[in-house]
Amino acid sequence: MFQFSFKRFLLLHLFIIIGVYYGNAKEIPTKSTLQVYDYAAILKPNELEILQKALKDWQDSTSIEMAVVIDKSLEDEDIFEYSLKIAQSWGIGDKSTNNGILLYISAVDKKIFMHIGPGLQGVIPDALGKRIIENILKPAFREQKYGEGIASAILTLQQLAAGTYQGGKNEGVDGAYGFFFLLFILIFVISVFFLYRSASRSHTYSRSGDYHSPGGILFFPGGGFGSGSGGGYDNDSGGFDFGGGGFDGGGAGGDW
Amino acid sequence: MKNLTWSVGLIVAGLILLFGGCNTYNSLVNLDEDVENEWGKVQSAYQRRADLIPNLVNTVKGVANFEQTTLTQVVEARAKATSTTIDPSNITPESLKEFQQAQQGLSSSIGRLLMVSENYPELKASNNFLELQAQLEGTENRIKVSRDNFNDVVTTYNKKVRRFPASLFAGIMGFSKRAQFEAADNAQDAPTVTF
Repeated sequence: MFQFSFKRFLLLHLFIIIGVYYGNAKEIPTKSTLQVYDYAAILKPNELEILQKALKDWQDSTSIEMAVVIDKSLEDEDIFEYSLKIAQSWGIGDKSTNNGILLYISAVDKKIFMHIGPGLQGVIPDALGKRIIENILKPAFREQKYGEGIASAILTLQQLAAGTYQGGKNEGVDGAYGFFFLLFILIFVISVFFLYRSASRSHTYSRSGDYHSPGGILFFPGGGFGSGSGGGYDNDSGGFDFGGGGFDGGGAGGDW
Repeated sequence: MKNLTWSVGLIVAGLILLFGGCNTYNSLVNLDEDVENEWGKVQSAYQRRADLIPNLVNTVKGVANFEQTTLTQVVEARAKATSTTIDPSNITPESLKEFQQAQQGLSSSIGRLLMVSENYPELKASNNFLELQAQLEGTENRIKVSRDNFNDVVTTYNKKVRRFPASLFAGIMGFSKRAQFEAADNAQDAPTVTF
């Protein structure tokens, strides 16, 4: 009995150790109301402000959301996968148009990856993304002109994407489904109640055209009940928040 | 009076079953659509790669005495990969494996071509070739992402299908477990080169 529990004790520890080991995977930085994050502190304070303002203005006028994350080190993570995780979990870009950009830079590893949202890949295909990295970012970074490099990359991106998107939000109403569903249940219950009251004979609740299973279970035509939640919209009063855009892996990377 | 209580009880039980069934059915339909939607993305990512090949081949062809066997291998692998298609509503483990193998064949032949091209300074200096390479890299990344997403939605779907109580309804309604991509396949990372 002792042995048995001792084994379990060991096993428990093993799990804890494994848990800690996996828990050590580099965490996604938490997003704030900013679009420029400089964890490696390689930007000058005024540069950070300028970039921040440029991106905010760009977002205001075109709805295109771009974030710049300058990390200290990747800590052995794969740059593509790690930066994709950031882009996805922050939800950079508009939810419906997926027009986000994430420029991820790792200072120690000297690596760059730029994720381009699907909604921008028409005007910024991978080859152009690569060109921006090779011709603008790399030469500037080699001379330690980080802020300038990023600024001119942003400028090029803005030129490429000019005219594709307009500012202003379009928000869908997701909550309506839930309301109609409740209404439907209410009407259904009331009608069942009245049917029960008024009719003494037995009856079935079948309607022509609706799908029936042999068991007599009635299916509702159409769908969407219990589907996705709302969320992901900005509240204009507060700070900036990303719009919930997705990424498909498009973009380019490079080392300097 | 007793009769009434019984009837009300039956109706309530019926309603619970009804809504349970409806909810299960609808969420299964949603998940099923998600799976097919993600499969569409997987296919278009692979298609995107296949579409890049003629361009790649033409660029490389222009270079004086480029190794012909590598080129023909790419062309053949592409033909095989594009001819291996799957009906999205019926993805079986076997057909998915076949699809995966055909695409893997193309991956390794492209990898090989890129490796061989390192020996041609003319290619390495060509802007056209560098940009094609960037496009290929991006496409490989898209393939990776779309495959991961596909596996994720299939996992969600399979969990739903196999878990109680949805499993009760799933069988009757004709929803069954779906196949996934096998994880450990990184043929494009390590192409074997034999000259």
